[in-house]
Amino acid sequence: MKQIGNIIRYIIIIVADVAMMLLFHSYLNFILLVGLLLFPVYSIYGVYKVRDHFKLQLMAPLEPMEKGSEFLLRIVLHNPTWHPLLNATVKLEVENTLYREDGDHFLNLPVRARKKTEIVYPVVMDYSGHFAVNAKYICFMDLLGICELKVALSESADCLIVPASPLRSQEAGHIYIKGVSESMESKEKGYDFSEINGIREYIPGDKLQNIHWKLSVKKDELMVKERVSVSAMQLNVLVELANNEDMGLDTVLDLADSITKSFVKQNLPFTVYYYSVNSKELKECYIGNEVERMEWFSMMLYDQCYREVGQVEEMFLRHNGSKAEYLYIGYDSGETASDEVIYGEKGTVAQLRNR
Amino acid sequence: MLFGRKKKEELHKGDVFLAKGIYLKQPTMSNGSVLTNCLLRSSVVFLLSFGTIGAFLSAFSLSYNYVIVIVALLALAIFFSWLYTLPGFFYRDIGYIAFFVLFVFSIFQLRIYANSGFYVVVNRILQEAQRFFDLSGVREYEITVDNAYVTVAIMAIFIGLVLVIIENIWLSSSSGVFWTIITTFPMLVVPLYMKLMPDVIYVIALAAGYVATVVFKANGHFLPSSKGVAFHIKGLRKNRILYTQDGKAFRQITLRIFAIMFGIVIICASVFPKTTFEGRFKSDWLRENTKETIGNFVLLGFPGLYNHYAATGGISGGKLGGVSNVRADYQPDLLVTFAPYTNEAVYLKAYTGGRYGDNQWEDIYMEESLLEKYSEREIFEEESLKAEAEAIQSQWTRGYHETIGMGKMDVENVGANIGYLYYPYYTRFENYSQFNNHGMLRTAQGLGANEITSYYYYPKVIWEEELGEVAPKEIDTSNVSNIYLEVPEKNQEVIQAECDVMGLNDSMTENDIVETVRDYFSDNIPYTLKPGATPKDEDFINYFLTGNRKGYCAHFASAATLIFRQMGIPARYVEGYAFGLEAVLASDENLDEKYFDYYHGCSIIGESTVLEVEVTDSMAHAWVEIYVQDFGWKVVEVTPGSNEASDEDDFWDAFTSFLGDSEIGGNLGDDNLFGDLGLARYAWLIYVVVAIVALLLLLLIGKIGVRKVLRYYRCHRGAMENVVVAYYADLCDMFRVCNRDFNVCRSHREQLEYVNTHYDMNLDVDNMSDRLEAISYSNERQNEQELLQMLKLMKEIRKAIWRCSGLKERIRLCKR
Repeated sequence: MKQIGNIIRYIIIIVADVAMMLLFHSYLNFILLVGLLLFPVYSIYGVYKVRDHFKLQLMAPLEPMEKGSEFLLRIVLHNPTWHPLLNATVKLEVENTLYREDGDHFLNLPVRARKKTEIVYPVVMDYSGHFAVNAKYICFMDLLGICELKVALSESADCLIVPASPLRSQEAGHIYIKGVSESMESKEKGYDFSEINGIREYIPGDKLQNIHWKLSVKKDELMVKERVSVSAMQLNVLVELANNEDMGLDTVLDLADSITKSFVKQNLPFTVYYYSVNSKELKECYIGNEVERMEWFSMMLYDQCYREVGQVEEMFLRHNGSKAEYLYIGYDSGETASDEVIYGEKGTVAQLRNR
Repeated sequence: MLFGRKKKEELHKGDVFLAKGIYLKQPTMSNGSVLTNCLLRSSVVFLLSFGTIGAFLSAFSLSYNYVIVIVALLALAIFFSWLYTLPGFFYRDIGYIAFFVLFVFSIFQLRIYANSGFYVVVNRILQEAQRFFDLSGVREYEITVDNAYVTVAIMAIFIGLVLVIIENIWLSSSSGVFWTIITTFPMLVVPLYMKLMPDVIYVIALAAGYVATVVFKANGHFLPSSKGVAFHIKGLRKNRILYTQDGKAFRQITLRIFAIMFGIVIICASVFPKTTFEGRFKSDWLRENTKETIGNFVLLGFPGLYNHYAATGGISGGKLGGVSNVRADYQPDLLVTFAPYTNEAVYLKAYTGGRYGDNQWEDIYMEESLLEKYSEREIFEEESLKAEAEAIQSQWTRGYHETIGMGKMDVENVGANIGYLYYPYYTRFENYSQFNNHGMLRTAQGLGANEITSYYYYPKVIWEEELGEVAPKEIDTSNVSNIYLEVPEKNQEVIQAECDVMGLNDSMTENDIVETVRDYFSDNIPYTLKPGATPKDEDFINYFLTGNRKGYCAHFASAATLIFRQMGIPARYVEGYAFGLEAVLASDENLDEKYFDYYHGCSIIGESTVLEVEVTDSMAHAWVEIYVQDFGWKVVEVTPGSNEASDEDDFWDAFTSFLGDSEIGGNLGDDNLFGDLGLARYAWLIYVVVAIVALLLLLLIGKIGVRKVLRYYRCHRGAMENVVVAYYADLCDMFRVCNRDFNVCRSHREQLEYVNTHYDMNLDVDNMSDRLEAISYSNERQNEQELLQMLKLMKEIRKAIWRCSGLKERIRLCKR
């Protein structure tokens, strides 16, 4: 409609100019008429040239970002041609794939000739998950607003948004002890159920007690001892990825992040289970350090939530009946299978269960 | 739960909602500084205003100081463009007012320069019009400052300023490109009509300006954000993020438009030049059909379209009162060849009025009492002063040459009314029977078009002192018709009162009376060519003497005629042409003719040369003839000298006069508002300011009024559901006006919570929002009671808004 209005307006101007030219025999109006007739040719030619040569890029941070913090999405439109435009409109679809919550909007931007137009999008996500942005299409309007060209796009960018929850070391350690059946190792070695498996370079976040001081002095860089659990009775952690209307999953993830981070900090290995909607199976991950934990967490965030609460527990028990003791991180069902519970917000719990 | 939501809303106040849990803060883009954006937008304004002014002036081949004009217009364009980047109307208004004060001050300081520049332009236009319309002469305005290079530039700045303000408003508002064209192009119509082409550079500027305006208007993004943000949010779902303005893209586009237009103009001018273009047109309908009318308009102004008083050769035939003003066309009516002998005015008699009545002088040839006694020939002999001419001729024949002369005068009618003769005083006609000198008679024997007649006349150069030195009662009027002593009944009272005021009495001589009347008129009644028409049902002479008290020659001559008659002096009203020494000095010498072939006898100025005087219709005149004892009829001039010509040369004075300052009219009384403080000459400025302010106020009030009426109709007409929705929308508008933060509320619930928080209300948010949603979106009929209750509730909210609003908000609410 806007184009039709602009075309009508432009035609009226041309008609008025022709009328003046004929009435006054005006050479000035003749020149204006030539200009008015030729300019649309340039204008439309320009928009076709831009359509054929433009390049749109979406860029999101590569590192996972903490939820609630601002991260910058960059939208860059390259126009290598000599033709500037005043209106390009990109349809952007924004999604948190974990919750399957999406929305679309339109971004209008100028197209500079032989330059790039960069727009910085400061985005904030309130919930953990996988942020994805897709450019569905872009519309270029010519300078006179009479010709619009639409180009489908498949450009996308994504970023992981992780919880920013505090450590709950004491509660986590306590529940870990309770959850592990072989308690004899615990008396002499404290909570350390592991032995040295190898040496590697220091990664920020490693515990100080794991630093191999002698080797570090020799190599002149910090080296740490990589530990693996010697216990055959590691704690099994079940994470419920069910969501409800109150976005309870976000609290579950907060709790899971908080507890598992505490386990890793204390070198408490564990095996985590969650139900993957994408692959429709129960996923099992052994976590011995922060890298493994982040890998697991990322995989989980890339997945999707489901509706029914208890799905992970049911699948776990069906496949691993022998592993009777496990730590369930999910929603409080009200059944007290164990008195060892860590409470989260919105009715979420991390609860030792024994079936 | 509510607390949690509120907390989240606070957290994301002003953010854009992208999806659940995903918000966008204010996006950014490197789009140039405010100054860059102002500069670019103002460049379009500059192209339009400078293009228009420059095209106009260059079309008339007027050169001026380009640098001053470019710098001034560019600075003004940037300034007004910058005003639109300021937050809110308030600062913008302050900016306009501050500029207006500066403008008033500067126009005062540069008044003379601007005036002169204006007249230079007007004179040039008139010269071009004279050439184009083939006019023989146009009036020119007096120029005070000769440096046209500067004065035209100053005038161009003042005119350009107006254009800059208007164009900036159009470009910064939602108005379309048509307004831009309407405000600029009409200025070029005048040169285009006269087939004058502006310089190429202005054509480029103008073409680029128009195309740039079309481009910016078609795409939007012509107004920078007053908050300095790069993007703003639009759309019902608030899902359209539009950039405000991008200086870089604007610059690129403006340069390309300019380059393209430059190329087009150059190519057009070389491939298809103006001459080739004009050769394509075989007929010129517009000019063929309008040239005469426009030519009249150029000469006479608007009166030229309806008032043909002047076009008839200046002779009204005794018709008075129907003309509000007289504008001469300055075209020659008569071409007079004669040898000058005096520095006094030379009168060419054409028409004689006898009896006065019904706002006109009745023609003596129509006078029944005369027609009963005399033939047309005898009437003409009496009118043309045959007896007086014969008496002087007789003196001349007897060799008495000291005070009289004998001359020959060739009069050619080049534009005067062909119904009359135009002969000098005391002409001796060879054959009186062939004339009656009456334009309205079918047997009229006047001077035909382009006909030349030679008159032999006997001017009385020096009058004997004793002539006229008798009291009126001693005049022998037996040879004079009674109609020359008649004063109509309805004029008697006024005329007598005027005689009393003048101090005329029966003991005074003819000369004393004439002198007294002349002095009185000169001292008390100003001359003007624009006295205004005599009101309907008013007598022309009575209105002149008692009401209007200003006029031109016909007024003075008519009034004086009746005054003389009242005093017992036979008098009659005469129309014709009178040209003075000024016209004589400006005339061409006729070297082919000898002086003595044209004049013998007494000459005040000595032996001169034969001249050809162009008698234009501006020299058409009315005067009085009185009967002098022992001689006969002689001319009496009672019309005071006119200062109007020089006064009118000053446009501002004419403007002041137009506004009612009577300084020109000499009627500056004690009741003048500004007294003797010397401020009176600036009074027009106050009137202009007051008028502009009043006009703006009226517009504002009108605009507000229309909005209020429309709102009233929306909130009181139609289905009850629609009324509630309209009322709620109006409330939302009020909230927005009071506080723009309201815009972040996206749902009824959020809006109502906002009301509770900000206006100290205690609304049941859940209930009310549900009901509002049902009313707004459901197709089902709602319960009428509930609707009424809702309306009542909203009226309470409206009261709360007014109650809680400060003065500033209340003003905004009133203005909306």
